[in-house]
Amino acid sequence: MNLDLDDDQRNLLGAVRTALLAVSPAGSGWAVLRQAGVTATLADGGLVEWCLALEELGASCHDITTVRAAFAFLDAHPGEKLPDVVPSAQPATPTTDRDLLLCAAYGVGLGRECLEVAQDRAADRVITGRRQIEYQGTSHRLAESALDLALARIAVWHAAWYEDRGRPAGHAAPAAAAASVAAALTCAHTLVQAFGAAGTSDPDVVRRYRGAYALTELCGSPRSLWQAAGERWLAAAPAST
Amino acid sequence: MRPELDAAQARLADEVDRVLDAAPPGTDPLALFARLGAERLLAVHYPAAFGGRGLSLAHHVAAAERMGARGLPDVIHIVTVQAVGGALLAFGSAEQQARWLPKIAAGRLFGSLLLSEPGAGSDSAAIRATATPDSGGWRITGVKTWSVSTDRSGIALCSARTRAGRSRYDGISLFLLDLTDPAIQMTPVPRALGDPYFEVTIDGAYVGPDALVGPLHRGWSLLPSTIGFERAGFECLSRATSWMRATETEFHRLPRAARAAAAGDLVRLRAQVAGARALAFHAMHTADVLDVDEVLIAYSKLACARAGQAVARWAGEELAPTPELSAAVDEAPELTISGGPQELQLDLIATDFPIGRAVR
Ligand SMILES: Cc1cc2nc3c(=O)[nH]c(=O)nc-3n(C[C@H](O)[C@H](O)[C@H](O)COP(=O)(O)OP(=O)(O)OC[C@H]3O[C@@H](n4cnc5c(N)ncnc54)[C@H](O)[C@@H]3O)c2cc1C
Repeated sequence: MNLDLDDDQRNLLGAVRTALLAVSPAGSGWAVLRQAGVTATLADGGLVEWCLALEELGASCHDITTVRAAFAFLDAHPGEKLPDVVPSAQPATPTTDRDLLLCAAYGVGLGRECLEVAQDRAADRVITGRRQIEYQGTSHRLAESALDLALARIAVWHAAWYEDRGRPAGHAAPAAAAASVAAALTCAHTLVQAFGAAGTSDPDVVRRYRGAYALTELCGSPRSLWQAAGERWLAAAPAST
Repeated sequence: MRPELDAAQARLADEVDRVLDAAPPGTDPLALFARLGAERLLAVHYPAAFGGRGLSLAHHVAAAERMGARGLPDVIHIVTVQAVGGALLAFGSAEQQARWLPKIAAGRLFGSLLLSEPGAGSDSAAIRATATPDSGGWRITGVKTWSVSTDRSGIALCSARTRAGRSRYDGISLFLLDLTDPAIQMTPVPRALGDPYFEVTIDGAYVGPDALVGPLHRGWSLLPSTIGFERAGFECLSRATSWMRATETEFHRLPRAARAAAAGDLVRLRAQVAGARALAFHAMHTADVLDVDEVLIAYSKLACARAGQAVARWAGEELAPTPELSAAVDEAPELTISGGPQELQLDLIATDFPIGRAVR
């Protein structure tokens, strides 16, 4: 039991990161991945690989339309090694489990980027003679957010891993999406707070903050996603009467 | 990436089940440890010469997790096998290893930790206990607090000042004490739940030169490794897991409408426990006896402790009390204090650059 990536997955991540270095501020990360041939490699991968790539997209280009582009690409390539699409039994959201997991992976990337930017800022800025990060009010909020994010990533990876093996847990995708959207929102708020007034003005911060809320439009609020997951779990729970 | 035990880990867990199933009902837990020890299951990561199987820590925690799930008091096991035994394995002399590890692995000797003092808990460098040279050995004097399972232990790993250090971290050494020494007195201190803590007064206890564990004066830097496995949070994880089970049992007794309303919360708590378990196993998978990633351990400990607390709190707020759930509510606050309070883990996580590096 571990969270290690295998060599192919690490190579894929390397290729995605390298390709995404070329994204211009207004450009589409998805288009760049296509041009670099990474999407073709992805088409041979499983949902885990897609989630790894979507996390990088979330972290690097902040362009939520990327997620929709990924759905469209997958829909146009049926029969790849990806698992069958499982329509939501209780459609709390209009998306499939696969799409929910891609959104969730994107949200993890977005949250990761928020925290890294916030940490950089707090490490550089000096407030009343001390680096901001030395104040536990800032550092512990960063750490709390980082823990939420780590748990969200695990939920996404595990759900995708079971999907890839044809053994999906019915509630795992909405649960992972709930954890991810909640973590992305938490990280976005942490980012704005770490920047002070600049957080409500700096366009890069504001874009990320809005990006986190855009996730709720795409896949639902954390509360509704937990509820959807709960309903599915309850329907399948052996002890329920 | 693997969210499940691998085949070897699952086999070990099954072996634990077989040994425990074969014991007559009501067998004393300490006798169960001896049975597990006889099958070399208690410390599978120790070398075969010391009663283990020469396997990895990741194998060990799979067996240990099953022992906890079967209701064995894992605090004894974690402190003895992982902390005290782990320190000997990592820093002990060949003689110390040969003398103590086989008894520990056999489940016939238990150990405890004497690190905290009335003025030194989170700040483990603030200790006042002293060890002064005497007849080739040492004479140890001081008061230690919050020690658990001390009454069942034959030995204890104890920190003491061996010189006024050049810095506050210098001049601390670790010793192995024989707890049957009459110069060592223990007084139980009540605890909200379960077995008491012990305050241990050490009044000039003499130990020979062979009691020193690791380098003289440089014991402080060994402490993170010594209690590192405790910090990975497995003792919190086993509570989180059993409290989750108890919570689910009561949840399923709720009326249908109440179940429907709370199902989202249940899934959230289950995900929190599962994520904590994944982090704890990953931390052990990447560790070896001498080397652990402190930041990853911090995530793991915090995740396990928080998962346990979240489950206990939810159950305490939402469900009718049962003896098990009330016990969980009482015990939960300990989880973010023992093994170093959560603030120390948050500090480590926040100052790791880039943040999150350790968990991806
Ligand atoms: C169940 C349990 C079992 C234990 N078993 C043992 C044992 O077997 N052997 C042993 O030696 N000890 C044991 N301990 C003691 C444990 O190691 C200490 O309780 C712990 O290190 C905290 O020290 P303290 O209780 O003195 O709290 P203090 O050091 O007084 O800290 C009090 C509070 O201050 C805050 N705080 C502390 N440091 C910081 C910081 N740097 N930044 C921000 N806030 C901070 C935290 O909220 C902390 O809870 C056990 C404790 C518990 C709860």
